[in-house]
Amino acid sequence: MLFKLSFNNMKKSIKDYAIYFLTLVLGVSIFYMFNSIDSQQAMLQVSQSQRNIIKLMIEMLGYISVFVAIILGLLIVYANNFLINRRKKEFGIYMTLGMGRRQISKIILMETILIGIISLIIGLAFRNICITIYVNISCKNV
Amino acid sequence: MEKILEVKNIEKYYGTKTNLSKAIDNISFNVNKGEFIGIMGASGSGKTTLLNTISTIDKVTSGHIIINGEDITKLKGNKINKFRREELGFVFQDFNLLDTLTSYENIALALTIQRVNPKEINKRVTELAEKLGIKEILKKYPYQISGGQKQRVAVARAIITNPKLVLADEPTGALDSKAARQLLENFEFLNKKMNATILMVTHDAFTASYASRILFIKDGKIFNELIKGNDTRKQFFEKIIEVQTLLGGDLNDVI
Repeated sequence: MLFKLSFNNMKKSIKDYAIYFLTLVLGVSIFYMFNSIDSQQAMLQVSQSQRNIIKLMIEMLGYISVFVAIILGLLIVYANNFLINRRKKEFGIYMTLGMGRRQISKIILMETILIGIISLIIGLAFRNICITIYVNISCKNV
Repeated sequence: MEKILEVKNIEKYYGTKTNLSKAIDNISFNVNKGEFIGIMGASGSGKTTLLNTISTIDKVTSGHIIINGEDITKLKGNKINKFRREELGFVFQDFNLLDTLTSYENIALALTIQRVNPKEINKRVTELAEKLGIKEILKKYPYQISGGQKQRVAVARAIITNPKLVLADEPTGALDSKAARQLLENFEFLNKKMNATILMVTHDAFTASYASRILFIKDGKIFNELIKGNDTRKQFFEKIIEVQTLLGGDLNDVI
């Protein structure tokens, strides 16, 4: 019963969650891109003088990435609060029915896990597609 | 007669020390088992605050509220949850059903929280649904049924756990007169046949006329008390209107 409640809640709020996930995915990919610039192949094929400049740049990027991480963290907290706030009334109903905090947390946890699993599957599938396309293109060029 | 609810000199203040407003000013009354109590008063008179303090949603500033021998002003944390799910039933003005569950599941949820086994739940829900005339809509979702039906589902949810006290805050507020009448008949049935104790807050004289006793509240104090006794509902209704005139509320407050 509680599982069904979680499941239906998730279905209902999938639109809200979609925004949340888009935020997360975008954030993570930007963050990853930022930090992987120095290991790009193009970066390894530069001259000595350029290398020094790049070294400085990477150092700068290190600081910036901390800044980006903080912004991302705030964004995630904000998105989470936004989602929970929208459902304040629902939690109120649970409480008048005599649900304790623990049971309500259980419902939210169950929802989060469900969403997590689904997004993981979708994310992995998406990644596989991308890799296949990438390999195809780059093999043609060689 | 067995006392279900005992309210002793409760007070509730809002605001700061410099700007104090008394929402409830020394109210005391008792409710016996099987009574159907109405609480009336103009808006801002403190009737909802009173209901909130009884339902453990709000805390009193001073005084005691004793339900079934337990002083609820001293309850904390998990005990409040346990108390709510076992001793109280709530009916709200705007139904507060969960849109993600069917009517059946909405009613059953109250029992699921108490960990009743599914077979027993099924039996109790079907039985009660039949009595309240909502058997046909059990499989429907709240957005598929009318306001009157929603409120009856909400009543079923409140009563399914056999609570000591059912608290209703303006239960007919969002209903048209026909649905309101039907709902009140349901309340009457629960009160007379199933011996449920009901405490209903309302500002509508017609709704209140279904109660067996009415407390009038003005400026946080009990202003008057009316007992139905052997009057017909029509006579009782007229008495209520009389008291309301005395209360000094103008027509806007009555409606």
